[in-house]
Amino acid sequence: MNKTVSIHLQGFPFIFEEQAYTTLDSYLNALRNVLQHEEGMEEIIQDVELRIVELLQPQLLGGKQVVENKHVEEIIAKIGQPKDFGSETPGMDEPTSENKIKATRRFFRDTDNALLGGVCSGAAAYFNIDVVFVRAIYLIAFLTFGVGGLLYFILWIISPHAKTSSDKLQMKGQVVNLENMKTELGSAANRLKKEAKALNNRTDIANLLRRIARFFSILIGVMSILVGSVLLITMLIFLFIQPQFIPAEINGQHVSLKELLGLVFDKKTMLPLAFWGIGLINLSIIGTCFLIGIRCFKSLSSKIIYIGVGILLLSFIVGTSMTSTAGVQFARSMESYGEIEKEIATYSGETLTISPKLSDAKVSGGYTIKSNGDDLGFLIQKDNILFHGIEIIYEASNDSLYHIYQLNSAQGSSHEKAIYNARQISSTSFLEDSTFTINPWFTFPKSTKLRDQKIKYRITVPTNRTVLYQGKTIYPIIDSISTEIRAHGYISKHGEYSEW
Amino acid sequence: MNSENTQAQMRKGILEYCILSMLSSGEAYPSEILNRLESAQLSVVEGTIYPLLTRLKNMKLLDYRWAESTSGPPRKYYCITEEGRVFLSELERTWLELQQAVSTITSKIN
Repeated sequence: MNKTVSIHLQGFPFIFEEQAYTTLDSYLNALRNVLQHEEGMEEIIQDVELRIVELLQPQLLGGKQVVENKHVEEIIAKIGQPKDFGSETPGMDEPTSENKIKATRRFFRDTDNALLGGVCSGAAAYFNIDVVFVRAIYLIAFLTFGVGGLLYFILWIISPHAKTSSDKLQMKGQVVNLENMKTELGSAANRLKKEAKALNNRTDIANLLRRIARFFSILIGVMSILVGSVLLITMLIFLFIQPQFIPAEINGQHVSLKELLGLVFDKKTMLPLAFWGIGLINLSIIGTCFLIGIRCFKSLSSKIIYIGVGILLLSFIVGTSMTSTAGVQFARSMESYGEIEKEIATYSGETLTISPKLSDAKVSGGYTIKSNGDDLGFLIQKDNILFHGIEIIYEASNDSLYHIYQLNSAQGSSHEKAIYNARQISSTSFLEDSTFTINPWFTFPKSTKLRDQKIKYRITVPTNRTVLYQGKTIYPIIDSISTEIRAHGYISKHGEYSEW
Repeated sequence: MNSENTQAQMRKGILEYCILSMLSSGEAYPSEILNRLESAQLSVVEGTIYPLLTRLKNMKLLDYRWAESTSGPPRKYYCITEEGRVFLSELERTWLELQQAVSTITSKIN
């Protein structure tokens, strides 16, 4: 018992045995395959199918309803094998004694497909692999191990370039015979036509220049892609791993970009806006690098280039407007300046001594610590931000007393807000006997954000009284150039005093 | 290269000339052309005919019309065009020249 298939051939119904159908189907497919480069392939197939119908006619008329496999095979034998259709010269495609001759391979430089000297393309032909891989392997080896540069030039000098068609065939390891030569000559003619179109008066120097230009374009491409990759990796690290690199500390750890932005922006919405805005700008730069890089390696269709440039431009514009929105918002939150002042102490003695309060022990295991420690910009504790640096202003007192005023200042979106921010600043400086101990660090709550918070001390000094700092007179000091009394001082976080 | 191969190439070379010449005296459909070639002892594989006819048609040397057949599928009747006739006359001249040249050369050698 055999399965049968019902089919239509050129409008005529037939019942085929399954095997017969398979045979016919693969035969027609093989014909299509052979004729695929022929003009009017469908027409030829139609003719063949009509002929098959014609040849199947007796089978139908003879009362045998089902077409068997042997009928199909008879018909194929009559019409001919697919190879009889394809080749202009029948029999040429058959394996002949020539093909049994072992093809000799020789290493030639392939100057037709060369970037520089044709060494890589020659090697690609020799090993019968894609030249892109050879170049990639070569480049990686050259960049990572530094080898290959000299090898390339040695190979360039010692290996011949494939001049003739038979050279080119040997380079590819093909047998030098008439048929292969014809193919090679055909492709050479095509190449010449193409090159003639591209360059009308091609001389050897022009050729070399063109090759060097191509080489540099590849170099630029490689560099662009490298830069793009580095930027991309950096950006991905920033976005998702968030390295804590900013010289500020949160509980003993460095701060990430996102955390820093969080200390700057008031509104919660501004933080992602700035963060992703920066990301988009970066992405457009990275994309540009890649587009240039890829463009240097292969020609892209103008459609792809337009789309690419469009996307890059769009992401740049969107990113810029996102960051500038956040920037404008930040500028607004810094718009107003607020300053408050209160008198914290008075002193009636002869000299006032200012002493810095340094938190860390200066002695460790019998050693005095000489180094200054870290150089962080600011510290962040659980809820507070610690900032350092205290300014001192000296003025003449109206009475016989020293008056010490503390001035807090900060920025804010409005004056009220700035005043509020200023009031949140706290300091642990205090006067005890004749010593005013100044802590160079002051704190404010994290919630008030970084708003240029500052602390100053205004000290009014009665006439003929002096202020000392670590045993040295710091007020009054006459400036040697302006011959005026220096009225400003500054205490750094390490307790170093400077005046101007 | 064996002799069979050479023979096939020789036959194929003159096939175009034979078909154009055959159609110059009246239209015919592929099976008819094949039968006539066969009866003239010019044995060719059927498969070579179809691409050849299509190619000649695409070169505008041949044209065809469809005709119903009483016993089977519709038939494609090929006929020669004016261009085809001009082409044929050129082929004829070349053929005669070749024939003469070949017989001169081969008779000298013999």
